[in-house]
Amino acid sequence: MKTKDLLTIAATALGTATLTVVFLASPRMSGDDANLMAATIAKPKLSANGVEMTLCAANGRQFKAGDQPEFELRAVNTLSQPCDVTVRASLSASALLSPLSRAMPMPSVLWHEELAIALKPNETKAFTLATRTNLPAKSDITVILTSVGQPEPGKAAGIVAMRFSTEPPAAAPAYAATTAGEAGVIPALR
Amino acid sequence: MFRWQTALGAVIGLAAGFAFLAVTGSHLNQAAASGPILSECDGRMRELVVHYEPSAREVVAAVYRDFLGALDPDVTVHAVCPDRPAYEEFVSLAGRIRCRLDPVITHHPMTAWSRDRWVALTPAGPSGATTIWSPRGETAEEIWPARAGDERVGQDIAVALGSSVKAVRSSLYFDGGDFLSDNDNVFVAPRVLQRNVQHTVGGREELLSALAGAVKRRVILLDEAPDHHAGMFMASVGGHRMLVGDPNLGRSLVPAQFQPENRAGGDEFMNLPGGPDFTAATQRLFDAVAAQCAAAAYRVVRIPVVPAQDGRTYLTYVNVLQDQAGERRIVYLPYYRGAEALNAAGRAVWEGLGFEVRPVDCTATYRHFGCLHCLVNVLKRS
Repeated sequence: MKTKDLLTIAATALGTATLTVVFLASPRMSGDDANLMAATIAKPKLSANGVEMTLCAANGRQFKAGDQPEFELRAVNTLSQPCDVTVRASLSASALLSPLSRAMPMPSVLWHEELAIALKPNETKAFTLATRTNLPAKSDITVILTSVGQPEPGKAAGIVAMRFSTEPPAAAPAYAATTAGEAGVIPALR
Repeated sequence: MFRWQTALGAVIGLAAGFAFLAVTGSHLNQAAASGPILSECDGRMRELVVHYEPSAREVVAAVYRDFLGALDPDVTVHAVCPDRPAYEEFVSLAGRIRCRLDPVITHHPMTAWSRDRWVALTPAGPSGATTIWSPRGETAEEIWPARAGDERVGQDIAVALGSSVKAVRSSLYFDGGDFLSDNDNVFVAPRVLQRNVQHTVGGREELLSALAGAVKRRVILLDEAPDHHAGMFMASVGGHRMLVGDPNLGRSLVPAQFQPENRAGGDEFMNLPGGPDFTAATQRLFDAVAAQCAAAAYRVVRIPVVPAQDGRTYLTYVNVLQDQAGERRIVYLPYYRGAEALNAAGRAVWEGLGFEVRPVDCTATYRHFGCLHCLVNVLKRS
């Protein structure tokens, strides 16, 4: 075997081994659910008395600080008989007090409204909810829908219908480059 | 043209790659089953994880000095730091210690709070790996870069520690502090329900099933509790005994001038935001936890707690770390300078339960919504 042959074998082996490790070992984080991303429920739904209610931003708007958000509440009677339900929508905000905190502060309720809904059999109605309150900056915003009255067994009385923030992601500070002693620690993939 | 040398090289390369992955612990075994969630009160602490972020030095310095200084030599503490200088600062801050320190350098922003980042699941068998079970995502990561970095810490640790640890990301949202586990049960704070229903699971039963499958213990989802992490208001101490905070007991130990009826807009007790919260509504939430524990056949022991009006700041004596050395039970117990009567009462409860108390100064920590248990995560116990 010539030196050139040995070099070809070594170079190919090195390349193949590197690719094998890169493709199979990263990321080191695996999901415990094979359908991890598919598990997200795109449009949370509150069910009460046979009525299914969903909430979305009116006209598909993206909200930012200073906006007075409007929401569209859609109620669907899934039964073949008339139904009444009362739902409470509330908008809360929580702003980071200190980056040293363990958790976000308790959210404060900026707006809420109760809505009595009466639906004919299999009827769908849409309602516009105007908050008339300005969204604060740099805040985590939560909109909760709650069924007013006794929750049905096995069903949640309220759901987080929407969650968004009023701050674009900040640039992360740079940290010192990896040194030889830390070479085993690779940046995480997400 | 494809030559025999290339083919041979590829075969050797594949063999070397797979051999490397087998030795270092590859993703191929990551799907392997894990055992039950690690108990917080049973067994000897072996490996712990803390974070050190230099901007939080004043918050954590006294805690780490007291806690690390009291640990025995057979304990390893993995210190997760954003860079090498931060680790060196951590070592210097720790001072004279007997435990072993080991750096995990992340190269990304992070907070000082280790507990909420992940939950340790024990190995499925004697030669298996510990599983670091991380949540699907972190709250408010969009507006909090350090919290976004926290999301990656479970993976950072698994990479650094090699085959003895594997990292798995859950399909559920939670904070590690939302769980309180012993060798029989896992108590889960109500907020986990709100974060997941109609987002990752359809409803309560589906959530309970998913949790039970992951933690492999009976799951007790608290229906009613203070809106905080479980370790702020309750601690399982082994033998089906549960400590639950009691604001009424705390109130009796707060000096008269700071009692709600005597306040005249001056200084608040221990600078608690808005002053202590001794309202009936808050007391009812703590009592509800006690009742749910009793219903689960726990002997409930109440211990003083002083929650603040902001709903987040607590002077608590259940936010502890517990260790077991043979028959001896040890508790690393927070204390707060300026709250001596409360400290003595909290300590007396633990001593009454047969614990050796090792005090940890958390005076600079509690105002940041957490305490000792929130700063330290336990990776392995024997």
